[in-house]
Amino acid sequence: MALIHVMHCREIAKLIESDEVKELNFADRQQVRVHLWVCWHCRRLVRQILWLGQMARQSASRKRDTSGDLEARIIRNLSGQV
Amino acid sequence: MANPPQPDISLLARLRERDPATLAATVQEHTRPLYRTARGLGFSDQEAEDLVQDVFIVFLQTLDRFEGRSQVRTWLFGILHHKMRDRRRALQREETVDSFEEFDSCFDRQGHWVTAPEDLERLFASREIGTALEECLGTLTLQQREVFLLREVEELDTKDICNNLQITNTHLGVLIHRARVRLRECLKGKGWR
Repeated sequence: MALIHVMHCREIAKLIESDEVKELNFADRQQVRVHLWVCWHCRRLVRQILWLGQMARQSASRKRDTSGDLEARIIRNLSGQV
Repeated sequence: MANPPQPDISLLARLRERDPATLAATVQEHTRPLYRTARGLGFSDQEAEDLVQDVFIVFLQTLDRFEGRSQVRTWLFGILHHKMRDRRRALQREETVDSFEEFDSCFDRQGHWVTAPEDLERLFASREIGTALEECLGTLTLQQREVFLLREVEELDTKDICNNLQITNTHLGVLIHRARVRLRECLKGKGWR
C-alpha cells in the first residue's frame, strides 16, 4: 500500500500563500480541503489572504487617479501617429 | 482546466486597422490600471503618466506582432513591465538572499502553528488599512510588489504574469508567498495588536 504523505500546517500554509494549491493533484487538493475543514488556524490564514487582496483593491481604487486628461492626451498623441 | 478567455477577433482586426474609435476605447479602458500599477511601484505622477503614454506608443508600433494569443490587457501590462524595467534596472533585483525566517518562525518543529495567525480584519478599521497597507507595500522588494499588485489588484492570470515578467511559475509562487508574509508581518507590527 502506498504511503500517504500527511501535510501539516506549515506545508499547507506555504501552498496557500504561494497560490500553488491550484497546481496540486486531486488527492493533495482533497487533503488541503479536509485540513482546512478541521484547522481554524489555516482557515484564518486563507481569510487573511483574501482580505489582504480585497483591501489592496479597495485601497487602489480610492487612490488619487490620473490627472484627468491623460487618456485624452494619449488618444491625441496616438491619432497623430496613425 | 478552463481555457483563458480569448480576445475578440473583430477587436483585433479593428486594432490592426488602427481604427481610431477602437484605439480610443482601448486607451480609455486600460490607462488607469496601467497608471495605478506604475504609481504602486514607486514612480511619480509624472513618471507614471510618461510610462503609460510610452506603453500606448509601443502598443501601436507593435500591433502587427500582436497575435492575439493573450488579452490586449496582458499585452499592455507586458509592455509596461519592460518600460519600467528600462527606467529602473533595480526592478531586476534578485531575491536569492531573502529567507523564509518570518514564515518559519510561525511554526514548531512538527509544522504546527506556534500561535494562530492574527485576525487582521478585526485589527484594522477599513479607513486605517489604506495607509498602513501603502506603507507596508513600500517595504516589499520591487519584484514582490509588482507581482502582488498584478495578482491581487489587477487580478492578472498567473500564466500571464509569468510570461510578462519572464519568470517561472515556481518563482512567482515564491515571490507572492514572500510578499504576503511580509505584508502580514508589517501590518501586525504596525501596532494594531
